[in-house]
Amino acid sequence: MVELGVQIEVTGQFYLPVGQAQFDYGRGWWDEFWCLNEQGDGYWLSVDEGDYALERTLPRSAWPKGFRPALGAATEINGIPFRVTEAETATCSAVKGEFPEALAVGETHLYFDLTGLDGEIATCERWDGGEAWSIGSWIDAWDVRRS
Amino acid sequence: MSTARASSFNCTECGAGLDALGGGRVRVHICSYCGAELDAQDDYKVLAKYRDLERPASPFSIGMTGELWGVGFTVIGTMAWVEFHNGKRWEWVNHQLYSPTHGYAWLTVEDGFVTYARKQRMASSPTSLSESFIENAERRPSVSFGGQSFRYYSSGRIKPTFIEGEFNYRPSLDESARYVSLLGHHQMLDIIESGQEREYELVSLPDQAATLASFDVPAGRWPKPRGVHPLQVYHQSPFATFARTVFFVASAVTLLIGLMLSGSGQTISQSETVGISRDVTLPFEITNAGRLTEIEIWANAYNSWAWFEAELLDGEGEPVAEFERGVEYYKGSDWSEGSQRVRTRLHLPPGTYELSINNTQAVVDWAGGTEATRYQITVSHGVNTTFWLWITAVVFGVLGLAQMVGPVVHNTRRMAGSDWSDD
Repeated sequence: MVELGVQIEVTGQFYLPVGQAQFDYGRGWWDEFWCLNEQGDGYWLSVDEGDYALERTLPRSAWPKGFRPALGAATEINGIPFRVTEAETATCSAVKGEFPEALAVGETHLYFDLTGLDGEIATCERWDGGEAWSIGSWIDAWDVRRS
Repeated sequence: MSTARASSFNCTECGAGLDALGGGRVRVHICSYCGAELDAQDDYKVLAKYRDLERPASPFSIGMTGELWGVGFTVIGTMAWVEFHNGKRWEWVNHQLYSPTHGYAWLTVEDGFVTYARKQRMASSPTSLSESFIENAERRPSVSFGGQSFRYYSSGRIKPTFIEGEFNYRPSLDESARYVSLLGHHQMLDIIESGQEREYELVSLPDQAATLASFDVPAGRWPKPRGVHPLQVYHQSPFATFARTVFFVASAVTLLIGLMLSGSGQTISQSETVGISRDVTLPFEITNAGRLTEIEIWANAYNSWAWFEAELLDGEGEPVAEFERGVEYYKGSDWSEGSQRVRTRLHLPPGTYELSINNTQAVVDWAGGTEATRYQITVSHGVNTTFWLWITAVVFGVLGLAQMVGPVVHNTRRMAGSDWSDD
C-alpha cells in the first residue's frame, strides 16, 4: 500500500515517502518510510504487517529521564504516560532513497515500542554508537490510502 | 512492503505438517491435529495441550482467503465462544484473519451473520461501562470513541471453548472475559476486559454475499441469518422513497384543494326558530346554475330524536323533491352520537322554490333525554361537496405512511438483541 515516491493520504494529511528502510527481525520484516508532508516536515512511517505508526523525531531535550529498556517499563514523555509494549532486535536489510540520518545495511538496531493510553506511540532506537527517539500515533490501516 | 516468510513446519508434539500463514507477529500456533499450543516465537516449543475440544460449525476454515472491502485476508485461526445469561446460551465463532497490509483482525459468525472486527489502539471516553453503572443507569449509556457516539447495546461474560490455528496473542481457554457492546451509526464498539487488559474493537458488517463468495464458501454452507443484525441498515428501494413522497404530496395537495373548496355557501333563506309542532313554509330563489343548494334542519333534540317531512315545489307549484329527515343527538359523559343538524343537498336549476316542512314529530327514547321543542330551516346556495376530497387525502396519507412502516419495523428488530430495558 505504501510505496516510495507515491503520495499517501492519512486522515486528510498528505505525505510523500522519500526513503525506505527494511528491518529484518528473523520471523519477518517491517518497513520504515521517511516521509515529507506538504510543508516539508519529516515523519517516520512504520509499516509492520498492518500496524501503521506515524512519528516525528523527538528532540533530545524531551527524551525521558531514567528510561528502563524493558518490556512493561513505564515512563513519561511530554507529560504523556507510556509503557514499553514491544522490544525487538532487527537488522537493517535494505535502504533506498533519502533519510535524515545515515543507515547502513547490516547494522543491528534495538527497538523499544512504547504505547500510550489513547493511541500514542513512542519509539526508542539504539544502535552501535547512537540512540534516537520518536513520538507519534498509531494509524488505522483503513485510514491509509494512496492519493 | 512488510510481510512475513510463509512456511510450513512439523508440529513439535505430533509431527503433523502445519502451514504458517499468519506472518511474523503470530505468537502461538495451536495444532489442528493434536491440539498442542506451540510457541511461534520460540521454535514452536509446546506451551500447552488442548485435547478433545468440540470443533464449532463454521462456513470458514483455516487457509481460506478472500477479500473484505477490496483487501485480501487469510483465515489463520478459529476460536469458539460461549455466553450464558439467565439460563440461555449464546455461541459464536471468531476466525483470526491476517493481511500483510491490514494486519490482524477477526471474522465472526454469529446468528448467521458474518462481521469483521479490528482492534483499536485508542480508548473510549469513558474508558468502559461497569456492570453497576449499566444496572443503575436511568437512560441508555453511551461512550465517545474516535469522535463518534456509541450507545449501549449489550454486555456479559464470555468464555472460549475451542482454539485452533495461529493467533497474534496467546489465547487461553481458562480465561473468561467481560464485554460491553455499543452501537454507533455504522459500526459497533466492543470493549473487552480480560484480566488486567482492556481492548477496543470496531465491528463492521460487510456485504454478506460478497464476503462469503469471496472466501469461496460453498453455497450449501452459507449461514442463514436469524433476525436483523444491529448493523443492518434499512435500505428502502428508490421506488418506495419516491412513492412515499408522491403520496404525501398528493395528500397535502388534496387537503389544500378541499380547504379551498370547503364552506357552507351563502345563506339565501332562513326560517325563524319555531315550535316543533308548527309547519314551516320557506320560499327561496336560485339564480346561479351549477352549484349545490343545501337545506339544513336544526332542532334542539337532546338524547332524543325529531322527524321532519319536507316537500319542495317549483315556481309552477310542481313538486321537485320530497324527502324525510331525522335529527338525532345523544350525549353521555364521555361520548356523543348524531347531531342536532341534518343536511340535504340538491342540484336545482335557477328559479323560485317553496319548501314546506310538516308532520314533525319529537320523541324521547333515552333516559334523561329532552324532547326537541324548536327547529329552524336554513337554505344555502353555492355549497361544494368536499367529502370525497377528504377521503382521498386520507387514503393518500395512509399510503404514504405505509411506506414508513418498513423502516420502523426494521429498526425495532435491529434493537431486539439489546439487553437494555428502559424500565
